[in-house]
Amino acid sequence: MRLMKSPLSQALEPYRVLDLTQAIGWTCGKLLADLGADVIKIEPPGGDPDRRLGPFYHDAPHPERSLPWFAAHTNKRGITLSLDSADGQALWLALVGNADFVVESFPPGFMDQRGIGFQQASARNPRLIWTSITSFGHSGPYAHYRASDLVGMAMGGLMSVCGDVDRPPVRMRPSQAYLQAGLQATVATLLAHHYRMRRGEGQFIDVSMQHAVSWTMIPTRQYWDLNRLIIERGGTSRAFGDQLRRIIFPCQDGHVAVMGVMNAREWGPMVEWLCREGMAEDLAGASWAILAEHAGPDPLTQAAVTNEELAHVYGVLGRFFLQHTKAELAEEAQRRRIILFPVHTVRDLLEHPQLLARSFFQPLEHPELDETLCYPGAPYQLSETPWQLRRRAPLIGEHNEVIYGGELGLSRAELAVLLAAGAV
Amino acid sequence: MHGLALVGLRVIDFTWVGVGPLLTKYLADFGAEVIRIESRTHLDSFRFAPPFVEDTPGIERSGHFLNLNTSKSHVTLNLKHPQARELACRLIAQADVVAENFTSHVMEQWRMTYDDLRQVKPDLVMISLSMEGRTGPHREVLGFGTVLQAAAGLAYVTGWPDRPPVIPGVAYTDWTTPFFGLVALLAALDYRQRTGQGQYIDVSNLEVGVNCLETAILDYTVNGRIQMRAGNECMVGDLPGATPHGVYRCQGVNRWCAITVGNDQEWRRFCDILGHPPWTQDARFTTALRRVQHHDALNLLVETWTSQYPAEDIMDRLQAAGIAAGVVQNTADLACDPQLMHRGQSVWLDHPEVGVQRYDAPAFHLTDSPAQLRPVPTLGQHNACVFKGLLGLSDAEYEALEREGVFE
Repeated sequence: MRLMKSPLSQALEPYRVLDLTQAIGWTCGKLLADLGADVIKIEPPGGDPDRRLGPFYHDAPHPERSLPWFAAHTNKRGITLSLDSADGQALWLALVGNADFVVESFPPGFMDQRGIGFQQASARNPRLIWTSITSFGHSGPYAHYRASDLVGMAMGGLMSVCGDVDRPPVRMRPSQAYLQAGLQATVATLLAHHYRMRRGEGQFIDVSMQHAVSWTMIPTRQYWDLNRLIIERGGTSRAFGDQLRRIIFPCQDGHVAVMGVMNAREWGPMVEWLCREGMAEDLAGASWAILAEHAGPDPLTQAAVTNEELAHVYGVLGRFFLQHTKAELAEEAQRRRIILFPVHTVRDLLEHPQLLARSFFQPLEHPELDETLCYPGAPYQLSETPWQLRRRAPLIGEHNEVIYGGELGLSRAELAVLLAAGAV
Repeated sequence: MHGLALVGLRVIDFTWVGVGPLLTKYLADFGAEVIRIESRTHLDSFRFAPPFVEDTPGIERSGHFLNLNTSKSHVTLNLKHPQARELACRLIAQADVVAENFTSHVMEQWRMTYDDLRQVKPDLVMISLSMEGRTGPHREVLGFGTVLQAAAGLAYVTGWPDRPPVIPGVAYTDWTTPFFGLVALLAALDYRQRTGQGQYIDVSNLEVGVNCLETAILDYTVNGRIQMRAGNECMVGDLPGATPHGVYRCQGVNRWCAITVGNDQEWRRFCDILGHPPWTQDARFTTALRRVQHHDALNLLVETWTSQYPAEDIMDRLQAAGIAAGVVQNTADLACDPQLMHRGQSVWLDHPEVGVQRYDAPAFHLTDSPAQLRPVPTLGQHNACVFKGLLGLSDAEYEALEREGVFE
């Protein structure tokens, strides 16, 4: 692992982001911070309640040891501020005057009720971009409904296609509804920034978690739009229209995921592989090959076979996969250009040759723990302005002095008053 | 004042199937001029993917293809033809962005890697999206999001601990990677605006998927724990001790409601809504800790209530009491969801072959520079406009190249 990074430029270096999000919006501030923006995480005095979220460093619950907090706040600086006190609100408006972006995830109306919302902020700083991430959006029949990640995933539809048929639908883990909300919010924020670069004006952005999650369902929903077919959850199988395909198979040391070999491109190499190991049973027959040929070369389409025939093919494949490890199967499948991947565990990923070759995992120093922890790395490699981990998540109020004192010019005595009054 | 966010940005789009076209759709819907390049000799395989309009296959009729190609221009160009590369490069010389999502060797074969193209356009921003990235031993790996999401670790943690991993019924990384790609691209374009410097962006679906695992990585590298399937139990980002927290059967066939009761105050309101049946006073459920300790028993009792009512009623009644609850909406529910409709999820656009169809607008609202969807182009619709208009080919040159098969 590389321990030192060269001081290369950062894509979003000149910009300041004030981050008032809860878990639903964390991804937005993180993506901006990891691309170089100066993201200031604003917590209530005493620390954000989200610091109570586990798991914790060495499983010891402590507000400075929450791993979700670590993961979501890399590269951010942190200050404490009360949005309910008059002094805190005045400080907020002072901070806003000098910021490029605000990202927040309070319920609709929360900031406006305190007189410190977009309108007041925009009056002070017309270039300000204000991104609001809420469960359902700022208007409409569900605007005031509440949601957890679980509820967001349900209302966005994604849960309806996850789970075993004989059990309730399940969530995708970890919190993918929150992630989709924060991710789409980041795209929206940068789009507004491009508008601002041309026109000089900021604006208000309304991001809905439900709407963001529903985007993952669009191709699935189109079967309803066009065929009046509702795709349901299928356990280890996935429905492509009225074709139910088995995707996940057990193997010697876990599971593999197979796209479906019943097409003109993959069938021949798959059968040849089975034959080589004496496990093709009757699949080498010409009638199967003709069916696969008819399906065309693309794995998106599959031979039209009966459910009994499909079950038979899956039976043969299943017996074969059980003879090998997931790594053996994946390596030989790729050699044969058959689309098959291991169902990786986290441990597998830490040993993944491709991730290691690309130095994906990154060290980050935590001086307070006297330890360097290993983090997931860049979701994208930029040649001139690389994604970088520069600093661990902020401690509670870590940058109060430098921001309030250094930047806003408050004296130590004034800061002590604010602290005593619970404003910071 | 209203306008489009990306007016003036020109994108040469070699992408195909899902991931790339979704990325360039967002650029186009927000005003960029996206010129999609495709060859009749190797059509986008999404054109052959069901469902089709009126259930009738045809290269202009795939729902997936149509929905991902709004607001773009379209030209046909056969890059295998020796004269095609020069035309493509002349387009790129007048563009800001090149996007592609082939397997790694394709752009190399065409001599159109970033290093080649920066000779043509020094401040180009180029983005490649691939299964596992453009470098490393897996740079040629073939795949689809349906199975790649399992390689990224997302299937292993989804489902029930006593059952095999569940495969989500969507190609999850395919619908996530484009947005990560957009973040990188929009940041790189800002950097170019400020410094004049272009760059290359290499996006790996695998690395995006692993980023979606969030704390699961740290939990392993710090605590040595391999996170496993745990049904709908609480996890990262949930309030610790939120119980009931789960998905409950409601009246009807395959109808479910997700409910999160966050704390003791919410629990009291929850009991009010239920009308205080005797079990709610059971000592096992009177504190948050006890509810967590007895959540299996609690879940069964909650279901005795939910199963008497439609999922929508459960949601509305609990929401009226300030409790997070939501129907597990299926695709038919999504298609007419009143909140999504209110947000303008659907836009109706005309098309010469399939008529007026439903298209999806971006998921967020930029109040002063909203998305504006324009119709999907037909194959090669803008050939003359782009090659004659933009590149300045004469009629005679254009026709000669056409006869040669360059525009196949």
